[in-house]
Amino acid sequence: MLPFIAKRLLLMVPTLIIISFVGFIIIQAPPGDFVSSYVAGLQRQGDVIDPELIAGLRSRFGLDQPLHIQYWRWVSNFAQGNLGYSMSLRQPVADIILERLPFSVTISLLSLILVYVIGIPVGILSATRQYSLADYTATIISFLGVATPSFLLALVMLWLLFVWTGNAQLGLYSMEMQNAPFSLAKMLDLLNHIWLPALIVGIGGTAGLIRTMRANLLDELPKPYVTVARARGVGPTKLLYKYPLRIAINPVISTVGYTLPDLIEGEVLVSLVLGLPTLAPILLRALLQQDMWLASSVIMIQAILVLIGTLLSDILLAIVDPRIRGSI
Amino acid sequence: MTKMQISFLAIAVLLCTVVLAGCGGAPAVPAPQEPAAAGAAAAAIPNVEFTQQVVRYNTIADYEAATGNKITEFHQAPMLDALVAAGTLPPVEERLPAEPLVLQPADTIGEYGGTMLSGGDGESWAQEDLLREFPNTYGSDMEGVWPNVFMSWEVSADGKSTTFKTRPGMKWSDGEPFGVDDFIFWYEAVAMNKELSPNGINELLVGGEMGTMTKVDDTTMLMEFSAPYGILTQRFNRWREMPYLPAHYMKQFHPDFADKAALDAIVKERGYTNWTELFEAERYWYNNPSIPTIFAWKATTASASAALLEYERNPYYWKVDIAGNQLPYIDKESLINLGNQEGIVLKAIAGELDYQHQEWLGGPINFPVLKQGEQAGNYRLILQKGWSDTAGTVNFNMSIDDPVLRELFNNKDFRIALSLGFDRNEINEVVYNGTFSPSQPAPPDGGIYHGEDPAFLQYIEHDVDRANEILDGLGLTWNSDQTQRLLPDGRPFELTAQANSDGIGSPMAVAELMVQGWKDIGLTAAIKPQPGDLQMERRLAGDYEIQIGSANVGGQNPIIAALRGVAVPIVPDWMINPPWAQWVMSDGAEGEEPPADVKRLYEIHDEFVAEPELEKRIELEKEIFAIHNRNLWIISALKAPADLESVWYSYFSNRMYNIPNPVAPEYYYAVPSTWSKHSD
Repeated sequence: MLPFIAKRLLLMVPTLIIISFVGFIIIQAPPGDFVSSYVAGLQRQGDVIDPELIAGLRSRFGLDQPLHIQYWRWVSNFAQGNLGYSMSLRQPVADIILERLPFSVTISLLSLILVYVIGIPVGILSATRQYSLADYTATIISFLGVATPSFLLALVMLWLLFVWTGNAQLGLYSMEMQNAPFSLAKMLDLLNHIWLPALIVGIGGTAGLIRTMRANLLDELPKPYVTVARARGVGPTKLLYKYPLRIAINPVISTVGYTLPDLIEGEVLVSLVLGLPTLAPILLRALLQQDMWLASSVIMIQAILVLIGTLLSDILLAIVDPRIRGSI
Repeated sequence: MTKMQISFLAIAVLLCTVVLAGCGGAPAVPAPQEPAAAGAAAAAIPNVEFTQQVVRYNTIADYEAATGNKITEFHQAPMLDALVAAGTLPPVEERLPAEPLVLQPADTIGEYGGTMLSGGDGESWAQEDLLREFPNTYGSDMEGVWPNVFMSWEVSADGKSTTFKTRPGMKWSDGEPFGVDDFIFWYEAVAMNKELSPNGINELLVGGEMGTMTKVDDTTMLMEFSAPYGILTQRFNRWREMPYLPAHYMKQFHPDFADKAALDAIVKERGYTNWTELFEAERYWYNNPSIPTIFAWKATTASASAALLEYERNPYYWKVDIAGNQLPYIDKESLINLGNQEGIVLKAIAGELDYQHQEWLGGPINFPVLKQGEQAGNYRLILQKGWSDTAGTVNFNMSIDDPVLRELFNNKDFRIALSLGFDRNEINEVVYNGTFSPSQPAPPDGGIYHGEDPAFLQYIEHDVDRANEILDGLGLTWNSDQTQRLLPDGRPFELTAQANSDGIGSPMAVAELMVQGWKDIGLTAAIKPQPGDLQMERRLAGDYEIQIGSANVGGQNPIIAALRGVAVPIVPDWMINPPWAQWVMSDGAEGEEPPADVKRLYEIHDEFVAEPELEKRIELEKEIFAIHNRNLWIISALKAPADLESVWYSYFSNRMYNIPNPVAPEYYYAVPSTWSKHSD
């Protein structure tokens, strides 16, 4: 097991290097750079920026260096833990990310938990009561969930809630709690607000999970060993949970790996719609303004999260499935 | 693992993540104050008429001379009473300068208290608009040069030196004195520092050299230039780089004033890579709670990316109202960062905001839905004086390599033909509900420059026949099936139009209709959407044929034609033709020699900067417009009305009062320190 984990961790390094390179190139792809978008913004406001100032800004930020030097400077700093300086927000990138990362991670994790907490039982229900009303209801809701894009769902829910309650359910805290110190009241306020984004982000995954769970279980249930166990008098609950479920759940656990990127990406769109203080709005603005270090660092953080998530799911699968444990 | 264990683990993880999230976020600040009870409001004041606009009196003596009323005592906000009683703050008489600025609010003497909520984000100009204190300012009608931070000034006879006086006894928000030292510090630390300003500060570069700022005494400062600088005082009306910094605080972040080793330690500890980053971060008043300020409210939230930015009353603010109440009335300002405009619009409709600038509300498109919600949301939309931007401006690459196109673009008749070739009225109806007016690039209607004058309205008719006639005369014959014209050398008459995808006034929509119209005169144009800064880059690179966007040629403060890089060639990416601007700006070293009129425009800019008399400057601006009308280098479709509520509006909750009506285009001139909010 340990060599397996060590090998995977080592493999992460070249993956991250490639991601950093590709990300950097794409961010730099549009003509111009942060200074040109900053100057364009100022000119829209009516200020005339003379060319010497522009050149001065460029040299201060190191934007007049050739591309590979800029890349090397950023990557070597990143490897040492210095994430760079955000030109648009005038702060070290690390400060910005640390402020927003907990929210991003929380929403993704909460969605993941919701997906499993809702998906698995409903999937089991769907399989054991195949073709019943419960099954059809679950099926219809899951298809709707898969088909609707998360940002559309967020918009619709936002509007519905506004029409019903007259409040705009934006952000993660209410006004008074926003900058208050951490307390039980603040946590409750957070719970009050966070269920909506977690639900919306998770609903697509829930739908997928219900269908997968149902299909896997339906594959297992007709198998001969189940019939034999039934005939030998094993109780229905134990019968269901101890054997077929353990086998049916394998694919579900191994797919955590690619549910996680979906969640992180889904969280981006939903955060933008709902005005959440996560990394998503920061990333979007950084990309639009070509705030290079901020954008690259956020992308790297997200990539690291995804890679760690995938690794964790593989480890989990190895723990759960003895066949895989034996083969690694 | 059993089902029980799994559920238990799941619940534990759930709780942990929620706790983790609760810990994240901005650092703790004290709980918000309750809105104060009614402040020290005076009884009805004689000789004073409230005019729904803010009236400025430079000093108490000026107020007394104008109205005959005396200000005998000062009052402060109740939220500060406890601090003064405890001895942590000096009493209000000692906190105010000897010569505070006196303001008459728009409706009535306001009550102290309240929190203003708006939507914005940490790095936009939303909060700058509400806070900044320029050395001088325009009035609420956007005219004139009124003292603000400066108390008075005197210009020498030759226009080369000006003596400014600051207000004696004025203090920073930490109680330290504010004066000429803080201007001189800015000059030495920022303007003359090679790392922060490698090529000097443009506004101080007159006659080819940087001007000097010298201290005469604690409240008197002399600025000298090598050439006459007539518009210096007006420049201070709106110069984003406010030329003062708290010397006593900022010295520690500058290598010329602080110990190098200590500075390096701070830079390292805070995670910056060099001292310029630290200096720039520290001096940004809007996100730094530690730096002293002279604004009405001071920042209490440290991070630019915080979800809620908060600003609290500055107890040393140097303005009072006509009853002697120290301003501002409102205790606290909050800006909620929702990351996108739609969220702000939703919050506005829900009535959860107190005020919102037009820029964030989406413009004319959202006017109907916001107007509809006025009753339910308990808010109102007020006319906010706007800009008569020109939408659908077409600029041509006059220095394009292709010789055939180059000759055509430089031919005024060709441009006229294109101008006659599309239907402005139709575009007006479709895109702007008929609220704009057909026009070439022009200043606003009325006022000094009269944008409605026929000189600005040449060739705005939709005259396909005449356009066809002109193009025939230029050698552009129709092809065999009469669908398209051919260039004189036989190539099809096709152009790529780069249209601004994120400009104000929906230029994309206008562009599409223009292109449709041009089909009738034989031009096939393909539209390529680009964001504004990309258009700028392409212009610099010469990589375009025609571009369609929006622009404002000036004629209304603070958009002054002679000082902006639209009408005059003072920027290297000059809309009309970058190589021409580069030629005049580099004295012939770069670019391409332009026509004489362009050279004259550049001369006018220099003359304007030097000219001290307002009437002569107005004449120079009129000359600029005349040159443009004569040459018609750029054509345009429509001009926005500057005073139509459905186009330019601002949002205020009904709980807010003392709001000027109409409100100035930037809140700064409407003086938010006199705005008030009812405590219910």
